[in-house]
Amino acid sequence: MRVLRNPFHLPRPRHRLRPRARLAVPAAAGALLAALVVAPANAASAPTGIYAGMGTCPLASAAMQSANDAVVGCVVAVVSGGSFTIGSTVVTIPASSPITAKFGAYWPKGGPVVTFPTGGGAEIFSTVAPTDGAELTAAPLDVPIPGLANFWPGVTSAITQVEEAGPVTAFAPLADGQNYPLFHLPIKLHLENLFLGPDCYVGSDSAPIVLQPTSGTTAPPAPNKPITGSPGTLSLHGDPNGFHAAVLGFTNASLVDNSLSVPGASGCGPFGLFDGIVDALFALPSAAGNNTVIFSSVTTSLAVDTSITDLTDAISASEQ
Amino acid sequence: MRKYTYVGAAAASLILAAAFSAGPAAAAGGDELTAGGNNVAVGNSITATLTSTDATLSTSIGNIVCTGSGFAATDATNPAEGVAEATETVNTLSFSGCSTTIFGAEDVSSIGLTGTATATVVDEPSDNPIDLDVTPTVTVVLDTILGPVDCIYSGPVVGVVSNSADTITFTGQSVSSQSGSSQLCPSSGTFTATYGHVVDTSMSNDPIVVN
Repeated sequence: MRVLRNPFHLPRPRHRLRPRARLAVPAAAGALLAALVVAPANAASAPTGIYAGMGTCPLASAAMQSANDAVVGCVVAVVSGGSFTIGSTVVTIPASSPITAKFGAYWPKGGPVVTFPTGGGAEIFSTVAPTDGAELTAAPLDVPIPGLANFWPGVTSAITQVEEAGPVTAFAPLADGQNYPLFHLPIKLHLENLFLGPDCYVGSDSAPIVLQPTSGTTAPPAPNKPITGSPGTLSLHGDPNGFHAAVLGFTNASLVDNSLSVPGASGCGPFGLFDGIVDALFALPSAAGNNTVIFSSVTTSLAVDTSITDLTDAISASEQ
Repeated sequence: MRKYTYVGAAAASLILAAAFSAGPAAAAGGDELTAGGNNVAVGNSITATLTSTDATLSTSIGNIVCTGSGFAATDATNPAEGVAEATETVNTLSFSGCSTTIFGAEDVSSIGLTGTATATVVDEPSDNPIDLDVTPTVTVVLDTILGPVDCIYSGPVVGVVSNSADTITFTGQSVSSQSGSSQLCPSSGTFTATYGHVVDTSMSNDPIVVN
């Protein structure tokens, strides 16, 4: 292999440099190269407009490239409010710490469809993780430990990270407004505290907390009672460059689920010695009917197309 | 005595006026609706099909166009002319050959009347125009890229009846969404179509005349 010593024809130094400067120059050149090469590439790969945020949509995945797909899509959903209630512990989702979900979606020809009692129906999409694997991203939440005044986050509280525990499944966008889950989302809660260690979780990949939120009305087991979400406002956008893709925007929706169960803690403290303490503090495991998740101020963009080529081209054309 | 004379004279003049204003096909009995010179009996079947090129529902996000349509009704009331308005019960309203340009919709799965609708023939105080007032509830099922969507629309809509052409014409009649399984349903639209010949199938398919 031939090594190009100065492939970008950068000007060579005219004077002999001191050792420290010798280190600085390659660093500066590296930074310059990075600026020249990396920055433009990054900028060019960012979809804009109605496709903003869809740069990691797994358009090249085998599932979304399948000739058997009737509909393909890219999803970006942002939750900017709401709360998790587990037993008597309530954790709010501040607007400053949104939860973001991104994934690709596809519905095969003759794929599953749910029919609603009030009429209409919804195709049930399968999903594909985004190219960077970050299907769910969330800022850490500060969860006070019951019975303790929270004056020292991470010591008198548990810094809690909502993490995905598996792929989104059963994505049914047309279930918006129906008494039917919009998707199934398995999550686990990563609790971080000085005494709990790095591997303290509520829920796991094998036994996750499965959220099945609806923008309609829930039918939970007692003692919870039915609660109702909101479908938000739908907007429709055609592709500005003449492609056949379209983007459906759901703005300010509220999704609710109060039928979920929450398992006990695991991996807390050395050898899981503190699992029982965490369970006792947060009344875990918490059976269905005692827990509620509310996602409010939810904004979702769903780009859909019948052709993966057309959708890919449409998103590419939006890149700046 | 004189009082009764006045009343009798007035009644006679009304009858006379009625006789003059009635259409040439008016039946001897003079009911609101006649067919082939005979009064349309309550319970008789009335049908019509599309005579315009198409029936169209126009919305702000696209149209639904059907090349075939028709309705079937039964006569519910048919009072003597001038006494009250005739009414019909619309039992079916069918559409065929439908296509759509509504954003997000790929096809029209079906369009049909939900329940029945009462149509009233309004021809008083004059026969100009003769209106057919009806408030149907119609369910439109659209096949969208995300699944089937039920959109339910209702009137009231007014059609103009032409005895000479034997048609009922609905022009730009506003309908609005009553409910729907999705926000993909257009919230409102206007309906345009012409139906004819309007015939009484219980009486040898004779054209209906509004008197």
